[in-house]
Amino acid sequence: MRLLVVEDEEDLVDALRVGLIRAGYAVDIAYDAPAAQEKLQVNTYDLILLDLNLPGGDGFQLCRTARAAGNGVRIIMVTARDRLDDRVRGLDEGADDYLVKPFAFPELLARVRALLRRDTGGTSVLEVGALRIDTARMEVSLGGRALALTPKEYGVLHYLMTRPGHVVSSEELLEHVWDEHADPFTNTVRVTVGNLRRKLQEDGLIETVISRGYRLREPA
Amino acid sequence: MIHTIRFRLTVLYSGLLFLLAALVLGGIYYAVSRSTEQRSYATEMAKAYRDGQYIGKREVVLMEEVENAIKLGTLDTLRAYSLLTLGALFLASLGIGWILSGRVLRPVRSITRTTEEIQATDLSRRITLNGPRDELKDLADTIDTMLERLEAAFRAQRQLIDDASHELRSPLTIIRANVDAVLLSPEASDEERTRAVAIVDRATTRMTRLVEDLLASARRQGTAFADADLDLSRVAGEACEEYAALATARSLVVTRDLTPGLETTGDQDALRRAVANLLSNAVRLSPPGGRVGVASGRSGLDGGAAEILSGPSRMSKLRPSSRAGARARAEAEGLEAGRAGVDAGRTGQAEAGMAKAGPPGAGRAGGWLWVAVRDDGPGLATADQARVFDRFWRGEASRRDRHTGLGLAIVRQIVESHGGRVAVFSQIGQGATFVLWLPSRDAAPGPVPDYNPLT
Repeated sequence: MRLLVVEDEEDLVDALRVGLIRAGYAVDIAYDAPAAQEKLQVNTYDLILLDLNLPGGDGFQLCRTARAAGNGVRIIMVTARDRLDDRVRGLDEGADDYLVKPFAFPELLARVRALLRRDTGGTSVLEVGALRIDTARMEVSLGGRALALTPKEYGVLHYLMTRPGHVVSSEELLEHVWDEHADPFTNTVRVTVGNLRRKLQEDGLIETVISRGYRLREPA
Repeated sequence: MIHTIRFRLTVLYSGLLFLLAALVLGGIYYAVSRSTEQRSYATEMAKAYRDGQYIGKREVVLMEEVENAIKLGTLDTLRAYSLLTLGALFLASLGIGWILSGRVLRPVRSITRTTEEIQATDLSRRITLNGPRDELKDLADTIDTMLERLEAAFRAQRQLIDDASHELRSPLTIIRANVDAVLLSPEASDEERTRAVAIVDRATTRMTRLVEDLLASARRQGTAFADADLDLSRVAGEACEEYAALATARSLVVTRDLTPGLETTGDQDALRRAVANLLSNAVRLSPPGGRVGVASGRSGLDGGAAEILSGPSRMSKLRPSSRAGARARAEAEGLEAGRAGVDAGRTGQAEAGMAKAGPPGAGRAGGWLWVAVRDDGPGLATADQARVFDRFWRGEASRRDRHTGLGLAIVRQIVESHGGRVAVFSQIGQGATFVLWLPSRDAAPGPVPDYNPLT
């Protein structure tokens, strides 16, 4: 899952980036409104953490722009404005959630998870066949056997598990699991999927659909 | 009931009326009774004649006695009716008094009702009493204007709290996020930890500075501060010493042009802090190798006396000829900041209640001392000049450096609590000059000058 953090406090961004990457997300950063605007046009994000007080623009405007793109991106407003009318306005302007600073980081993570599983429903645990993924604890198991995955392998598996039976192209994986610094011309996706298959030790769980991408086999 | 003004007014009114009527009636009764003897008439038998012929015996009464008897009768009637009237009058006056005092006191009830509805959280209610311009209308209007001021003060207070909590949240969020996401995480690398500690340290410093500034700005609002005689130039010199090392480190040239003997009364520490805050900005915003100028002087328009007192200085010699030009320029630039400062300065003057003997120098801008700090920084746009002294206002550079945005607000507070005012003169790309005007101790100050003493 790929997140865009729009925040002008560099010191806060540092902590958010470290924490979010460790939680298995691909994280892009925008320090001001124009940069965020540009990234929203170029990349596809699953979720935006949006500060309202931004240099060079208004957070509400940015929220409307992101909504106008219409790709179902989730938006959490993270701001120091705690007055009731600010919170109401934020949610009315299109935010899915509103978090007042200062916040506890585990709460932020929980809210991110809650918003990201909104299509699949249920809890933080996702199950496809014998595969089980606990997004809150970042634990993956196959038939009761725990798997040790790298963040990228975890990201790929998580993304595939939210779309079982669907063909996911490697571009799509690159868009949603890697951040903007990934080189689109390397075979990093192929290598990661290969490693993941080896760790799953079960052939055919992740199928390759020639020239279209990958598919997680649905249980029969 | 007994303790209401209405009741007391009614009783007083009817009591007075009763007393007055009783006096009038009693007086009449007394006068009539004085001229009446308390005796009845006596009849006698007398022989009566008509046209010389005896017509028999008749009962006769003396005329005087009959008159007296009539008077006695009238007196009785008068007494009876007087008592009756007095009783009726008493009852009637009670009723009338009750109604009248009710009418008179109706505005008071309306004032009470409104003020009861007013709470600290909602001061928007006004009495807006209708009716003729009388004492009660005056009272209601006075309360309304008081409410106006209270509401403004409360709004400012709430704004400050909102701003302060907003400002305090940012460093708190940084600390919280770094502790949660890095320092408490067992997987964090040493490098990440070191970095997070440095960030938390930075955020803590920033919070400390913010809290200190907030406290300083809250303290300055009180009027009780240590007033003493001081030399403004020496205070400015001390502030320069504080920043000498930092200026050297940034390879800035600090030039001083301080006129000695600028005597005024005030809080030495506070005034030094005001100059130091200006210097802090100047040193921070000037590019390396730039120049920061600190100068002080006396408004030169009260002629020779000031010249002799302060000794000749470059500033005071230049000033009279260039003053008109400076003012015209200031007006052309539309220095709202300056104008707002004048008004605020005057209020501050009144509130601080500084002893200023004698009438204000008629039309002369005498009796004012100034300290000016000039920098080679980026300068300020006209629109920004109006806001630099606002709390939490930050320029582009200060936003980047995470400054509190309280420095200049504190300067303004300090200077205004001394009965002076601050002004800024600047153009984008040409640096900025901040001027503190303070009333001199030995002269009656006229209106605060509004020109730039450095031009």
